[in-house]
Amino acid sequence: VNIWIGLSEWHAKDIAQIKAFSPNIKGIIIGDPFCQRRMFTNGQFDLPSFAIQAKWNQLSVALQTPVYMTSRVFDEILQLVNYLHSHEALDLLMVQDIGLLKTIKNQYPDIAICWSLWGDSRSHIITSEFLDFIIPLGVKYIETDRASRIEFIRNQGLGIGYCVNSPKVATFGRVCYTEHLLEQDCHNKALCRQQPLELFSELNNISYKVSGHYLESPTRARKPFVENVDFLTWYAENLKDLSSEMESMFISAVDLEEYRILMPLLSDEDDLAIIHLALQASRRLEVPLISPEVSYFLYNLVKQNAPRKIVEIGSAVGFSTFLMALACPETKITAIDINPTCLEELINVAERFNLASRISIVCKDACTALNELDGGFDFVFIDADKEQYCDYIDLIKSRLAPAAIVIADDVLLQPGDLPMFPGAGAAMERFRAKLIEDQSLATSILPLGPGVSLSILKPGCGNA
Amino acid sequence: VNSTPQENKLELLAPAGSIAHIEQAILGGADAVYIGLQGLSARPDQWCFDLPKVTKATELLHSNGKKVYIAVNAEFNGKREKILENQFQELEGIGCDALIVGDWGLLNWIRHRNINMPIHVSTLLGVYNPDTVAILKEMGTKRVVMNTNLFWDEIFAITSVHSDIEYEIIAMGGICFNDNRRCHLPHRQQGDTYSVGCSEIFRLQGDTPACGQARSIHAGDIDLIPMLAFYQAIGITSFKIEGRTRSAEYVYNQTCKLRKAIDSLPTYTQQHILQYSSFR
Repeated sequence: VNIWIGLSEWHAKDIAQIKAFSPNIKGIIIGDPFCQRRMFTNGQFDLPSFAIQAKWNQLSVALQTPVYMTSRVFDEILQLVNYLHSHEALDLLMVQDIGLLKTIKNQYPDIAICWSLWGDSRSHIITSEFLDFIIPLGVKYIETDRASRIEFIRNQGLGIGYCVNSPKVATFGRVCYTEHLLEQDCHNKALCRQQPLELFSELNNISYKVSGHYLESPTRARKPFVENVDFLTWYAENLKDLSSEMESMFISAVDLEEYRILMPLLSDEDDLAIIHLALQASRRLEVPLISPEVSYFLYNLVKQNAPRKIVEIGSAVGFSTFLMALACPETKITAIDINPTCLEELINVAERFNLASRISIVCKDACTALNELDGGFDFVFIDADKEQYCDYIDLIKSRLAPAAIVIADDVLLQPGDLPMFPGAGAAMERFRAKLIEDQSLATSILPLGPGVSLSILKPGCGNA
Repeated sequence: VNSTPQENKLELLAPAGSIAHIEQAILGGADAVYIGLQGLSARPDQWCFDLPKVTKATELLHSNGKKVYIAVNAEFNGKREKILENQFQELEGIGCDALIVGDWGLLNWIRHRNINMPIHVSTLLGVYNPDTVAILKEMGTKRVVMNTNLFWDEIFAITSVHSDIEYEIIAMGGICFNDNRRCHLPHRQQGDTYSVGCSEIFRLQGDTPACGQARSIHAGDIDLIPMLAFYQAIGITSFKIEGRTRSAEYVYNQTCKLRKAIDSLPTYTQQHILQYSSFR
């Protein structure tokens, strides 16, 4: 997926740096929905040079045109379009005014036009009647932040620019507050956006922050999973914000497609951030993960059973650990893994998101670690060295609480499935036989992902 | 630029949320009244008119020589096609004088149907430049309601290019800093998808913003009366009183005030305006 980045304020060094954030960054969005003066150090005079610099840096350029295309800015915008177009530095024009749209279509029929986010009604719902109207005016893409409208818009033959991150605007003013209150033109940029005003509504008892022309509520819309879109638009205050937002959202937006089924489970932003940080780590360290189906199953199973003490054999970077921790906020997890590099990743994320108190780490060979554990575990998840699965069962059984649940991943692996572990297939065959023969466990083998076994300790067989 | 003085008769347009409002508007001297069509108007239903009420209102107004405009400016979700088509035909049958439309999609939809009522376009369309008005003219629009948050030179830039259609502006009532097209605050206040009328006006008070102090906002009314002659000269032909959800008494008082002001207007011409603008 291509990403277009819009910053509230651009500086020359940003252009050179921006590609480093992600190889998916295709271009920049310059220009401001309100006022071209506030975005650059030298007002709108900087805009053309930024566009040219972006082209030198192999970035595409989108020009955002204002909402209020009045006589005061109309010709200025047309001149900008003309300049950028004639210098081949305009790849996409974001339009939100019908008059401008018609003018561009007549004068520059070859410019790709995207109908911009704030060009439509307050609910941002694009109707088929509206599309009937603007498609003949030359619109090629629609920018939307409503994931639910993507399919509908695409079916009308238009491309989609999905706005992943934008200021969640409650309203905005026609008149620049600074300019209005000073009763003079705002050539003094120092006054603009430097001191946000607080507005209070007595009726609905909500306070709003005015930054420049925006009257925005403090939260931002975040709907990271995207499919069926042509590009993403991503707005941030500055590069620093962008880097932290990208870190916490980019993977989920682009690379997490495979794990999309987890999305409904992870409504909270932090949940999502935790999961994709773990995913990111697993890809970086090339550690295999449990499959999406197994993740989904594991999450729901933990959620339904609400175990108090979980032991996880083979935590790796903590993807499954975090899933279980999120599924049940009261549970405590003992995470065992032999690889310190992986566990370091796990600890980093756990500390950042206040999970460290619920997850205790044991960096040892699993058999050694299990031998040293106390008991009372009511949930076990096994995803470690396949050759030792049988040993794990022997060691853990004496440490289980009544009616404990034991889950093991990869149990339907066949010989040859993992070339690096030639013994895995045979080991799993032995493990399955062992589970089924074990009279204290009631076991089912489920064909989820590479196979999952679900064993429940029979009544009267618990030790703690 | 059309430099001949405009001799259009000015219209005083009053709001009404009920028949009682209409009676007061007539008493106060309104030339026309606008009302909301129930279910399709951007106000709560209690201030709107269903078809029988519209019939009654129209009869009352027409018998007094006044006009009636029907606001269908709620956010148009496209799922009401049949209701709309029937309703529009009935409104035409009733003899309503215009539809006030607040959505490009709906406007375009009307154009492609057999609906022959005059169309006024609401501020919700976002008309900011002559190019947009040109499209509206092609689409058969009779009147444009000007955004009140435009500067006068921006209004004049439109009216001077297209002097052959009507322009309306809010002369009395709430004018807010915020953009009425996209403001979410009324939604939060009223919790109703179609009720977008804002009962709260946002104004900034106090000293310069450079100090960044928190400041409160309170409601206040715009009053264009001192500027009526000026707005007439730059091409506005209809002056509207805002406030379909206010009291009938309010409607009467404001209508009287505005009537008096309109009747005693001095004559400015566009020539005066051009002179003024060259000194600006």
